[in-house]
Amino acid sequence: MTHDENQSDAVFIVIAAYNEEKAIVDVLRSLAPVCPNVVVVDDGSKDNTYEVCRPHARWTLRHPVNRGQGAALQTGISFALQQGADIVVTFDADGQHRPEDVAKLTTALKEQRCEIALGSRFLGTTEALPLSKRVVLKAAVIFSTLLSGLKLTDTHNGLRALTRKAAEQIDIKLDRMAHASELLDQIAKTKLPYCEVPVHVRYTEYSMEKGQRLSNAPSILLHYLIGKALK
Amino acid sequence: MTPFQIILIAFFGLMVSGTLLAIVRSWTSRSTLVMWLTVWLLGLLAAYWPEGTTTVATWLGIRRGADLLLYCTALGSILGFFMMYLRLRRVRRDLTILTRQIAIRLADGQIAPETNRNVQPSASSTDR
Repeated sequence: MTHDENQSDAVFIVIAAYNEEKAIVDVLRSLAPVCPNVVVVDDGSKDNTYEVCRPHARWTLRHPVNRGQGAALQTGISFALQQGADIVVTFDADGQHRPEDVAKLTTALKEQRCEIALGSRFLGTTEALPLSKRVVLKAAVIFSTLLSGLKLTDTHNGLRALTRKAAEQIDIKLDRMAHASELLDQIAKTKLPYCEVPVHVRYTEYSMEKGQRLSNAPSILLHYLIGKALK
Repeated sequence: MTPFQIILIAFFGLMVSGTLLAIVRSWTSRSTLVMWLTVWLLGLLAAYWPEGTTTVATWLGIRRGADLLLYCTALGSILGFFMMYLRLRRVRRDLTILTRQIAIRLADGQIAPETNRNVQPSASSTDR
């Protein structure tokens, strides 16, 4: 069965969470009317992320030790596939994304007959995006385009949807934040058809505090390049 | 022979003995042990015959034997760090795989695949 043959695909939302006890319950509550199959992977949080997620997520997985966002997403994707997912959507835990964009992504998979739908904040809209972050994100787009060969408007957006076929072929090996660039490399390598979908991303004080600092960009770049060289 | 040479020879002699013992008892791969045995034997030779390092250094265009030892040590250290880094990466990768297996096996609320079928995200959410 492929995603365009059956209208009633099982959609699973995968959320990687690390020390997100303050925001993740609201995220899970907002996702409840959208999709019942929510998988939270608590990536060895030091706070009560795991405990607060259990009543709200259908599945709560816990990494005994912190392994990074890329590792947690791959755990969630593998688990979702085991549970029979036809479509896997990755979603951020800090409240940056809108639940209604999930349906936009899954619809795009069917209508545009692609295997991966990537959310793009630059095709869509942003709320309170700082100029400095915008500059770095744009630089990342240029950099990723040069290295992967994919023509994209946004390369580090955590909101994406993968068909089962794509999720089975993608294997995130870079455990930490460089996984976003690695994913694009794998899309290019596997030649899976992809599309971009306009989504809304809102930056709050919390998400800015939790998100990657601009100073981390060189470190992420280094991890990506080393990973690429030594894979 | 200087006291320092005696200390070095004793040190390298011990290392050679230990490595030979490891080869006999198959503690790790033979190729690794042979590589270490070569390193210790070269060290032993350099400690016993320091002028030999100068001879080799002159032949290589470095001139001083001490400089040759310094360069060899620096290059060996870089190679060693790189090998350690590669091994660390493998260990981290294995740790991630192990962590993933544990997380999936202990998944909270795990149910049979069939019960998840025919579920779609709510279309009404896009109409808000």
